[in-house]
Amino acid sequence: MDFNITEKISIFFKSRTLAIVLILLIIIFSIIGTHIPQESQLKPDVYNTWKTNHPTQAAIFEKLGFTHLFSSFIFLSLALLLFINTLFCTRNMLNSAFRRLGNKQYQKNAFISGLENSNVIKTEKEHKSVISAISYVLKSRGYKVSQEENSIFAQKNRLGVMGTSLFHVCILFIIAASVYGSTGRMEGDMRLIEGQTLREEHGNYMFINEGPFFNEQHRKFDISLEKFYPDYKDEAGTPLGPAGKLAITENGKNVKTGIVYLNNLMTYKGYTFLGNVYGLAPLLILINQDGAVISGSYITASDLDNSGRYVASFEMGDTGLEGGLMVYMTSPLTQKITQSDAEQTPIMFLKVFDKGKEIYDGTLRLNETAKINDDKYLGFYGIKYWSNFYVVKDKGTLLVYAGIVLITASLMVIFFVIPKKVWVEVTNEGGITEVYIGGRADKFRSLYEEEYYDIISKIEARLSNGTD
Amino acid sequence: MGQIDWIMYLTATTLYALSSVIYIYCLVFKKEERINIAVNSALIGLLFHSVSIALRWIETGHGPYISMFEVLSKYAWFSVVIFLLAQQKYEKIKSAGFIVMPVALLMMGVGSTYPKDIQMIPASLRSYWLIAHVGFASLAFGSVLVAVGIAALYILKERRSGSIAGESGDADSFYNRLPSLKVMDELMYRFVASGLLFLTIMIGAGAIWANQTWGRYWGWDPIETWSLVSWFTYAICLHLRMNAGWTGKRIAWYIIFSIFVLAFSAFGVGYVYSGLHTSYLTS
Repeated sequence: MDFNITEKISIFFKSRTLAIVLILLIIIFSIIGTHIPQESQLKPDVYNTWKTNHPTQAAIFEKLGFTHLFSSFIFLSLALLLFINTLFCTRNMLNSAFRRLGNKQYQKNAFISGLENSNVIKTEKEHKSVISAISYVLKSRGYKVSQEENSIFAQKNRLGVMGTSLFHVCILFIIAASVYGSTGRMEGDMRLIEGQTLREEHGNYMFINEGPFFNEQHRKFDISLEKFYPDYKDEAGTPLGPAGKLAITENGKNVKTGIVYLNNLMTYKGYTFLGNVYGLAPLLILINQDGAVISGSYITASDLDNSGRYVASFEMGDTGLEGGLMVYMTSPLTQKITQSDAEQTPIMFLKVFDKGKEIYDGTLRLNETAKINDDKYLGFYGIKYWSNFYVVKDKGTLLVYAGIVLITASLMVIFFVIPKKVWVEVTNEGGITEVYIGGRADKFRSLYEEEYYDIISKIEARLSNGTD
Repeated sequence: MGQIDWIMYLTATTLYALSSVIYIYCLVFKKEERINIAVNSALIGLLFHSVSIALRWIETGHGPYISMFEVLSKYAWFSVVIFLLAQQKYEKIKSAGFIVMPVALLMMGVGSTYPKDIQMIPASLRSYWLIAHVGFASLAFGSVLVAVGIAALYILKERRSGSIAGESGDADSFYNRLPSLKVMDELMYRFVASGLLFLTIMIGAGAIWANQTWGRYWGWDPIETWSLVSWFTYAICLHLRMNAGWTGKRIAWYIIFSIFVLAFSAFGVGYVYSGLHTSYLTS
């Protein structure tokens, strides 16, 4: 009984129909996933707007898990079933491929005559020289020839039998690598102001996602943003977009420096640094009437509507003062890449509130100070760029790449390394030698005919003339 | 856009139109002997098309993959190249041009309606992996388009002859000049297989490019998802052929329908969905 259940499970999972059904279901769910907004792919405000505009749909889809469809239980279950199905099919394919690889398949004339490509050649030449002539022709066409007394079995591209199995092994490998990668993956955004250094540790990320097997394995080296270029150009003057010059130090030693921009990332110890959003960070300093600093910091302001105006709200330490600012440059930021953009006369519009009551509303230029109440002054004493760097650690990436290379290679094996076989049996009756010869390719059999008949004509020529 | 490359483009389009008309004429009126005129028109058209692409490439400093005009031109170019090479190797499938050339003409025509202004290459698209990605996408489309042409010929020949057994009986000379149904069946398979191989490389190169640009090799972006759907569509095609015995007319119809999935993922996704690729695909 147990044996039957095991066998039934095995039959179920190695079913090729199951594979097609699962792939079709994955296709259907994938298409659904492209139509329903996916929370993980959208900015929170965009996703929330959709939810507000379509409350019923959103409620239903969220309940079904379709708003995070590609990580939903149903989708992952289908992927798991396909993985198991592929595993069972691959085991069968590998067994069959190894069996076929090892077999020497001498055949009798009954089998040979039944092949689509088969011929009978009659000759008066003696048995030995016939075998030798056929072997010669087949070897010259790249076949590996085995022979016993009256039979020849020749094959070419025999490793091609492994192609399909290798392809399925690669699919399993890619799935396993991506699962391994995603469970041990870490991704986060680290915000750095020019000149600032932060340690690579959990608390220094603006947001961070860690896979269940990442286990907080932070390396705790130091990252500095030495300089930010809003419109970086290479030596030839080609604009390459925003770029940040990052330096990594470990144990007080500079171990790596690089400029990070789109398609030019920097890696260190498995961590990849990619450029992300950036903005301006004006330095606001609160001083008393004696000139002593009460509080001060760079305020990271963002350009939310791509207007060139950077906005931020801020709190001045524990003074109870808070406010909002908008800063922009009076000349385009893109004009200079080597000098500090702070030279480009920034202007700041500032509002300051004390316990909710507006106490200042005005404009400040660089190095100007505004009196905000009887005994406090707020100064605008500097401006720098800040940038978020997207930091990723995914050990599975290189394995997935290797899988892609292997799957490509296996497809080439499947479609271009076609196993071809030729069987020959030589009989002799009444002084006439009869040669039964037949050939077959594992794929593209009709297209193989041309090669087969070329072999036959060469064998016939060799048997009659002694040459090709 | 420069005047010379635009004139070259229009000349190529005209020659593709001429080639398409002759291919269709040859098929409808069974005039196989005129088909070489269609092949030569396509070949001369391709020369003009190549010069047009090369001139624009020199002018813009980047390959034909930034604007929709360039993308469609590139797809048409690859489709014609693959078809001409295929009919050179398998001479009897020349008539498949009655599908390939009108589709190439359609891409040229639709492409010409898009803005032809020279666009600077955005920073996100400056990657050799992108070149591989778009190149193999075009190769995949071209291979599958040739398979569709052969599949259409298969269906016509099969309908004409009734069955494989009866094909030699009353089939007229036009159909007799086509490859046998078995050979066409295998050629369809071969071109779909090449298409699947190119799609695999296209997805792989795209994954590497995405990882360099966005820090992840796969993100279920609509176009990524649709490229996977296309890959699965052709994987199922080969699965059905190898394991479920789907050959002949059934697989020919499958190949004809499945090109719409590939065409949608190549050209349509940008119009239907918003995503990382959208602005690039609809520009």
